[in-house]
Amino acid sequence: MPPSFKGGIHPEYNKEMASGRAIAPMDPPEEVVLPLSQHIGAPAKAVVEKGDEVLIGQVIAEPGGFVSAPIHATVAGRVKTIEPRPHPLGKSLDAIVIENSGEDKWTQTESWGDSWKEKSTDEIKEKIKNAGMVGMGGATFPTHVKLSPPEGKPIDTVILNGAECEPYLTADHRLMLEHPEPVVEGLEIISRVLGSKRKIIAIEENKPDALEKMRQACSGTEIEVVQLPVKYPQGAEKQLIKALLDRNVPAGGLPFEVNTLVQNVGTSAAICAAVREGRPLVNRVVTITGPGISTPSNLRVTLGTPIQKVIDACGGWKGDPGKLVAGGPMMGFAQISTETPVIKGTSGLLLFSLDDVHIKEEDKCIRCGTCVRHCPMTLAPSEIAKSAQKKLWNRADEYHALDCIECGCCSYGCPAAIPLVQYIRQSKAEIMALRRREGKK
Amino acid sequence: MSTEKDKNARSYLLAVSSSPHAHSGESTSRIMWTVFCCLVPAAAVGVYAFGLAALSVILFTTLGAMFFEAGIQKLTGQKVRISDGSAALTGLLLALNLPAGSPWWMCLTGSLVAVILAKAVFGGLGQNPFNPALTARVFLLLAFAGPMTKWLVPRTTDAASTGLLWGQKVSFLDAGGKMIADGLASPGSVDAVTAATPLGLLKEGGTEAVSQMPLLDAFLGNAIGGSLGEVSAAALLLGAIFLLIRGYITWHIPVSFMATVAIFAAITNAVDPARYAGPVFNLVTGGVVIGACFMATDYVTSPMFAKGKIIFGIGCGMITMLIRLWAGYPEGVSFSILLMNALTPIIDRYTAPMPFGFRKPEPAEEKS
Amino acid sequence: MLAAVLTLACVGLVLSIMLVIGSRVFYVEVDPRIEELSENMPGANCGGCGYAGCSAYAKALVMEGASTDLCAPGGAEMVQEIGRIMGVEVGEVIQKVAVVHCAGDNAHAQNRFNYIGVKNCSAAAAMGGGFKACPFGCLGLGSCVDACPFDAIRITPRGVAVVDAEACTGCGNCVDACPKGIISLVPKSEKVHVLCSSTDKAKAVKNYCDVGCIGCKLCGKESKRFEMKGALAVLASGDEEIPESAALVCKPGCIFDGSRYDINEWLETEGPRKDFESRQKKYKEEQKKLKEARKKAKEAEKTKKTADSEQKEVTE
Repeated sequence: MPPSFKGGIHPEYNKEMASGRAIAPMDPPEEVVLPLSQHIGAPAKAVVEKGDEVLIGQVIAEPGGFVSAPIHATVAGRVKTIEPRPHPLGKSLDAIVIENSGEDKWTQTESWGDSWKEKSTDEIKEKIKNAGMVGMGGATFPTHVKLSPPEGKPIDTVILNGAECEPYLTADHRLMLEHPEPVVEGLEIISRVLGSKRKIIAIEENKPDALEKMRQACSGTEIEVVQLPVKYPQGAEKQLIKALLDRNVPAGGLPFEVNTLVQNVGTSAAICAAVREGRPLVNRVVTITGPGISTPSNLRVTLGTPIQKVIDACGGWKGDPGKLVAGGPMMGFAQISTETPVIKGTSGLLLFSLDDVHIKEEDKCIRCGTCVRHCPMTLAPSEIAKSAQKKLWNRADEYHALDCIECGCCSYGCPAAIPLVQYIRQSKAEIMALRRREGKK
Repeated sequence: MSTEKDKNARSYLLAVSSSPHAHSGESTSRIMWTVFCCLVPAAAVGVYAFGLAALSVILFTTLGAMFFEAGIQKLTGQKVRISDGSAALTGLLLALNLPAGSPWWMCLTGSLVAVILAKAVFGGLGQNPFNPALTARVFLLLAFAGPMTKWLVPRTTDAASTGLLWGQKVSFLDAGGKMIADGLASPGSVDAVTAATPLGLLKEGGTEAVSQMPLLDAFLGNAIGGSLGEVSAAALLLGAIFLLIRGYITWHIPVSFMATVAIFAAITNAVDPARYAGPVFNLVTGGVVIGACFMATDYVTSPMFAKGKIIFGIGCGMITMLIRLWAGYPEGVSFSILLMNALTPIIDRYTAPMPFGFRKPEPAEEKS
Repeated sequence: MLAAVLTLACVGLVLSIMLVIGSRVFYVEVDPRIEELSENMPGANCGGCGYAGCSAYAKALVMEGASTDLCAPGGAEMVQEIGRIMGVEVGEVIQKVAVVHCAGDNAHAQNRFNYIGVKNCSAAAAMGGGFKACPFGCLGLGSCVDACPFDAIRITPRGVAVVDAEACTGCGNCVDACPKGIISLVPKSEKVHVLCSSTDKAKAVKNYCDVGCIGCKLCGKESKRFEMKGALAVLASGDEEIPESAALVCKPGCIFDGSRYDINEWLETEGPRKDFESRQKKYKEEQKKLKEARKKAKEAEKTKKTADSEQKEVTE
């Protein structure tokens, strides 16, 4: 076992809240809101209009550029409107709203079954692209682009990320327990497309039952199921690659630079469904948990379902509503309202009641060095934050603000409760703006 | 923007903040008070050894520091935050660096200098370039040299053989490193000694003068003269080890500081055993342990990065030994730490770590 | 003793000779105008001119032929001085001051979430546009205050920014600093301001703010200088004086009449608004009476006409 990555923290995981709950389906809502921007890259372009009738799985928006993905209708019904709606990332962005007619009518899908093994890599990638596949661990990078590394960078190792290092979240855990076969087959498809020899599934040791299940599912294959120590952010791809293969992804670079590719286990299962049965991405497993929800659950939610409906399906708030986070507690986005929809990258919904919301007054930095010790990218977060406070963006750049992966380890441990990640995010935006202005000059 | 919905909506507003949405629960005041508690064993040994005079020094400096900090915060319109423990900690550290017999006005002056001159004028918590307790100690040493070199007789001194009473103020030691009354500096037992601490004796009389001093006593703090907190290296190490386990200090500075002192002492001792004492003597006497574990590791004034910390520790060790061996003062820890504090910003600048995966850009490579 | 005095005297002499030689050898020819210009500048180094500081602007004036009217803090006086020193004709300079186009403070505007984080408008605005329900509203966290080199802008206790027109020099730093872009520079002589920046329609505005512009266009009827940008009234520049009625017809009271009220009192106390509302009421009643009187007069005219024509008929 190569040495683990530097830094990292050991927060309270609280996974027992939802780890015992099997994935249950959730009824689709009366109306779905599908933002055109559910992935990294250019927003998709709508190809339907107000009043159009659509079927489940029908393409309603095409990719808006090279790095983009299509959007599919997740319910059958009529397109009510296309207008800006609140988006989980904060702003209001264009979304297609469909009124659910209640019928389970699917559009025609092409089922390959086992014959995917005979198809060419381009054909498989095309099918994955047409299924609207994006990274489901939260990053939402269009999968077909990820599976097309540049010339001269062949991928020799594919890693499936089953670490699920964020506290509270259990969606991947349950998926591996309940549906290990699609996960494994997805990995086979990916490595077939890339022509890679080595296949690894990495799981943190706090999920012994998932480890067991995956080992069983992989027996007889060349797939290595590797157990990793529990540390946040073990699941961050650069740190994962370091821990498994002892390869350093260059700062500012991507894993293909070290001939590696990382994919989430949920994405892998979805790829299997897309390739075998031609199913586009219309739903996903979401963990609804936290001290503020009545019944923690893992639900298979139709994409576009307003979060309020999902909360209702889990018994509603426990106590006064305080904070709602889409994602995990370390990197998730606090929601402005409960009307935002569940989108492709929503891996979890974390509810905190009013009593549990931490409101700490920002204090002066005492240079304790906790943030420096915990940073998995070995940066100096307090120095970047100090530069941001003084608006010295060039200094923030010198301290490598752009290399921050926004994992939150620094803010987590800061005794002065300084919102370090917010300052670093601000620095990144200002540095990019500066570079654009200077580039123009 | 939704409109009807807003109207009927929720009577509650969700809290929105940047990620992360979890916190370890650590706070500045918890750290400060924990370090304070880790110094209590050493303070207790000091009070046991020197009596109520020591307790009064501790009370005056600690409460004085808190009073002055509250005062300056109120005067400058800031929130009074002495409950965070940093003023109390500064006060206690100052007390541990003073002779147990220090008069009350000296303690208060010291607190005033530490909290206001060395901390508040620079902007308060987190902004001071120099260690406040040490700044105050050096100030007192220069301003009130006399009282600062009058040492109290520790409790376990054998009154019969030395003719000294517990709590008596003296400035002389005998060959065993034990204190003797001021008038008894008879030519037969000791040469002209003017400082009643082992290091003082060493400076005046060479290793022979301290040859009979039992090192274990010095380690445990048994009847050895010195500042209030210097006497028991054992009690100090106890506190330091707790802080190490808790993760509040890292090993880099204490180890590099003490190792440098030990190595330096070992080399010079090997070269000239008559003049220079060995590594153990140098470690257990004087302020090396309290300096390396509690003063040099002060967050605000020491480097933040591992490489920098080691450079800092080595620098402190070297300057301490240079002063001890060849400069005018018997003890060099305070000065060495203050001098290295001045270098902390530049050490930080040059030892900042590179990000994970950083590669030096080749000149021929195009920026992608 | 003598030796010491002589030694020091010699050292002093040698050093002075070195200084004199140095000052001659290393002398840099500097245009005296730069010095004179620098002396006349306000010396605040605010950067409003676009240069690094006052002496940089002075240098640019002489060496690069920079425009003579870039220094807002200096005002008209300074521009005249520049003209005199440089020996050029200078145009008229209009003294400008900054105005914050928002009165939506805690008493009048709603929040849509509880913001916890860095207390800085740019950071707060980065979170989905900010915590105010109005997408254009002032966040009141003080980025403008930090940017002002003249202490001419502050945040009221109710959470909105307000400019002190006397202290403001029109340098424009606050205009750049505001992430919402709701501060603008207007001529100092202009006393009437529209204190709203929301281009949203009335239905939306009413939901989130009592004092926001609802786009009713009534002010535009009183004065042509009020132009519409979306559903927002914007005061265009011009010399035409704005009648009192323009402010009085505005129902939400977003048109602020600086000649009658003090902006600080307007924002922080109830008095001015109550006074405004009572005047508004009176004005409405007067208008109503006038309307009725006109109506009566018209009817009287009509009956008179019919009476006249009847008379004519009779005579014919």
